[in-house]
Amino acid sequence: MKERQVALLFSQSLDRALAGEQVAMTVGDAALLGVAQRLARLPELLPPVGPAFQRRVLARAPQADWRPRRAWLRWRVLAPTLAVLLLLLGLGLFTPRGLAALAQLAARFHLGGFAVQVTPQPASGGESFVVASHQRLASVQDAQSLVDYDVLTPQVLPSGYVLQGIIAVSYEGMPVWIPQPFYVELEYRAEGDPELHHLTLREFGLAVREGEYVRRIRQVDFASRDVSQAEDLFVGEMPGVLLTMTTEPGVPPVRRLIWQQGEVVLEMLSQTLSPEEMQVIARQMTDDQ
Amino acid sequence: MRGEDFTELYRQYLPRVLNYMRLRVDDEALAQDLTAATFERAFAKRGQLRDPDAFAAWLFRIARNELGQHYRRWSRRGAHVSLTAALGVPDGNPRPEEEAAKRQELAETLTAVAELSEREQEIIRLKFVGGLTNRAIAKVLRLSESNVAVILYRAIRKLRGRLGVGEVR
Repeated sequence: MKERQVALLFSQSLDRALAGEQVAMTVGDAALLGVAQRLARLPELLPPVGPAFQRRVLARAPQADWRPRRAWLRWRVLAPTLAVLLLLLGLGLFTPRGLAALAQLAARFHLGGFAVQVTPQPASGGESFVVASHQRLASVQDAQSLVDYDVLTPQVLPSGYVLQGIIAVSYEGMPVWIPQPFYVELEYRAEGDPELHHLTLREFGLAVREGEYVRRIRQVDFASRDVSQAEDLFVGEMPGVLLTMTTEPGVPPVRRLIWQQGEVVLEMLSQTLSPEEMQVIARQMTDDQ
Repeated sequence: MRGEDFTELYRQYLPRVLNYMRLRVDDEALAQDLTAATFERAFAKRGQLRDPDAFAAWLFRIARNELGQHYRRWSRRGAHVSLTAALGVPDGNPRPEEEAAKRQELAETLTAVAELSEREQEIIRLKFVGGLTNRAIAKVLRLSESNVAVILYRAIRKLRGRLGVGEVR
């Protein structure tokens, strides 16, 4: 018998023996079982969990009943959101303004097990994509007065980076539940080549409301044919994705770090900062909340 | 595990994760900190657990991630069995003879395990301290279940000789 088969049979016998069953074995396997049983005594030989430590951990444990989500509950949550996304797709496919908006979004929405890809193509007939409005703002406070979510600003930036401009971007003709301005963009630049040494931060208020509940889009994955690499990661406790966008030969790639913070989806773009630097900035923004 | 609340899962898995950590790091306080961090992260990420039956593998993946972060943070190697952590903790046993016997058995076992390869050690830890099935270990280590069985089998064969039971032909 091959070793793999012997090993599998031994493992099966071992599991049964450790569960307290009587197992018939060869002499050699019985000796090995003795070794395994000695190993199985390790937890008994180690000190028990101290009550103080147990209290410390359990104090942070949620007291609420934790049960896996049932399928019908998932559907109840996801169905309205999916309907909204289909509406978005409809807008994108059939209205010029929707196309314009989606062209800016170029987004793929991940909703638990669902992913909705929105990759607008140039409309036939020479339609051009037009951003509805770009409103330049004087300060973060001005941006804050326009949106109902907290506008987050990085507290730690690489040396030389300063806030250069703030823009509120709005779209007309979008469903009323989509708050406008659709996003706020903060532009940071450093000394040097202004085309490269920049950090752009876009903040989208993307809570999807259903009655009193806020159904959050968990992640917006900005898709593009230029994406050469996508990495799922966490910014603090929040799921995110780091996209690397190819550019022309010889030009550094653009990196886009996208994550969710509360009801806000944030997108950070840079052509010069490393992924690690971007994550440090993002994590710090998350930690401040 | 379906239907159990998270607090019950904490109680069930707390000793397993703590003992696993004790065999991975070199002091009790650090093992406790990493264990606490594991459960905090597990709670924070509980929405990502699609299959509650895979809780054990999922939890130990988080535990290993916490360890990995610790080692990266302190640039220390994790490829060892820490005897000091496991042997240095008083367990409140009032009978010194029993405690001495347990310490001796523990020391012999851990010394023998420490001579195995890191992968073999990890499978031993997950199997006998973490209480994981081969399938769960396979998920944690991203191996096939049959690979886990083979590595476990070989490790136990090696330990048979090292624990003084005699060589296997």
